[in-house]
Amino acid sequence: MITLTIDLLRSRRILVLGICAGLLFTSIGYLALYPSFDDQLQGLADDLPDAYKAFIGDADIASPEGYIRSQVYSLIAPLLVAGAAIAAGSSLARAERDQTLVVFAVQPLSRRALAGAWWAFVAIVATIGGLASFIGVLIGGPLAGAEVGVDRVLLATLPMLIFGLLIGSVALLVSTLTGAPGMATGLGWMTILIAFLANSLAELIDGLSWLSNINPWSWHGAGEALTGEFNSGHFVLLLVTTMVVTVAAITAFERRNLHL
Amino acid sequence: MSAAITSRSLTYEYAPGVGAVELDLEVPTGQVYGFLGPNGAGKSTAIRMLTSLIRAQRGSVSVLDLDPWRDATALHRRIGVLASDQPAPRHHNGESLLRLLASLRKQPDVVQRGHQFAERLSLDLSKKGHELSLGNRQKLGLVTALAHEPELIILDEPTNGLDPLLQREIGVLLREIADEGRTVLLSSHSLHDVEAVADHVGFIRDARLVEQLPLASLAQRAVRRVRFRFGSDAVAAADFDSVPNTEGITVADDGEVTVQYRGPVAALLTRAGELGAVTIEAHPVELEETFLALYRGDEEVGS
Repeated sequence: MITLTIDLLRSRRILVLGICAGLLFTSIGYLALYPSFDDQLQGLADDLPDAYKAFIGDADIASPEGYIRSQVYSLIAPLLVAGAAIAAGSSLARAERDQTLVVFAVQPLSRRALAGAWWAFVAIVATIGGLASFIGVLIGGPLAGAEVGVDRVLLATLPMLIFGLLIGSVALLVSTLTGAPGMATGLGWMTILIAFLANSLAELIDGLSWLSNINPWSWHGAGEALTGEFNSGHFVLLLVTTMVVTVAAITAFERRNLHL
Repeated sequence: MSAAITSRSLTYEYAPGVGAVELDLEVPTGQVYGFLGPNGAGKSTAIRMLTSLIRAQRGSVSVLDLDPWRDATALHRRIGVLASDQPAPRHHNGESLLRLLASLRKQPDVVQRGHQFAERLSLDLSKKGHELSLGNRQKLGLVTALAHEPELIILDEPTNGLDPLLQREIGVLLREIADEGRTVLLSSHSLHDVEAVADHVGFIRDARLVEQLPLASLAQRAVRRVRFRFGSDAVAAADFDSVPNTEGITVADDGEVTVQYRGPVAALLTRAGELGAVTIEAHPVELEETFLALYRGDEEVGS
């Protein structure tokens, strides 16, 4: 199983390295620019409409820490990490669609091991993405004038990483259920979009605040731990949901007839 | 003789009558079994059930005394598979693919044996999957199916895209494997491809197994076609009336005589010699014609 996971990583190294470089340099670049317009942002912060604030995780962009949350943890990092995980999760269906999966499906590997190898690939891609954004914030934070410790950055990054893994696992579940790469990619991104919009609406509309309790985007907290408390309850919810989706994905693959 | 593959009423239908229905396969151990049928007849569906890719909807099947669905991992350890039109992973060249499979199978000697097969099939192992032609992809698929020395080799249309010389070489290779006591299930839509190498043949048509018999029996029952050219004397169809087992004789304007026959050819050749035959050509008969002839034979026997 490990052999296959390593092979998947090796064969898709350009995707993984591209996402890493994107996360690292975008994070650093965004944060390095902050001192050049922080005065304007401080004036702007009070005038921003609530709707916009909701979209950036209700972060206070007038402070460097709030700026990191609004730019990195509310947008760039979760989208890139989850996007990379979706690409990894849907690659199983892609291998089935282009028939290359047959080479591995007739080796002495159980279906569980085969799907497990792909899940491990998703997990490593999400972890590498999380690590890149962690390093990006560690380097870029001081450039923006933020005073955040390594432990705070770690606690802010960890839920975002698990959020990416959850979305990648959703793509893997659709892959193992259908063998359709387009559907796996599409439903993965749709999950992100719905979660993102639901999170924003929950912040804006009192009657919809309950959405935060069932929304993985809310659970990852958009870097809330940088400036506030680490929500361990939401973190556990993310972990448990990811585990449930993962078990469902592997079980589906064990039972389904392959289109090979 | 024990059977490497046995199935009873094995069925997987994509739609009523489409797929493989009620298959009673019996593939003897240590032989080459030609699994014949036109494209879309159900050969690949049957092979998918035998190799654990899909689960039979009805019936039972035993492959090397294992249930392909329940015991898939144990079975895959003992079989080699080439799927129909099997692609080569585009990120791998032949060498790296062999190393990966050796690692997955925990059989380091897969690499060395893979090299030997590749040399025999004139396959360049340094080319990546996306650089390979159809024929070379087939060769790589064969190498990966054979390199771990499986007890049972299941090949779905292995000679697609290969030139006649290589087809012959693969036939020789498969015979060697069978002579070692291992079993080969060779699927094809061409009787011509299979009859040079197979010991047994099974015919599948419209999702159903219509016939399963030793090749020697098929030789007695299958229709053959030969063409003769004669010297100066004109030859008529009636001149062959005394030859048993002829089924249709046509005489072309240029004097060429085409004879379809079943069974031993000796009487036909003797008669052609008496009539002054100068040249003789044997022509392969299309699989569909063989099917029809087999049906006709069955109906005659039944009537």
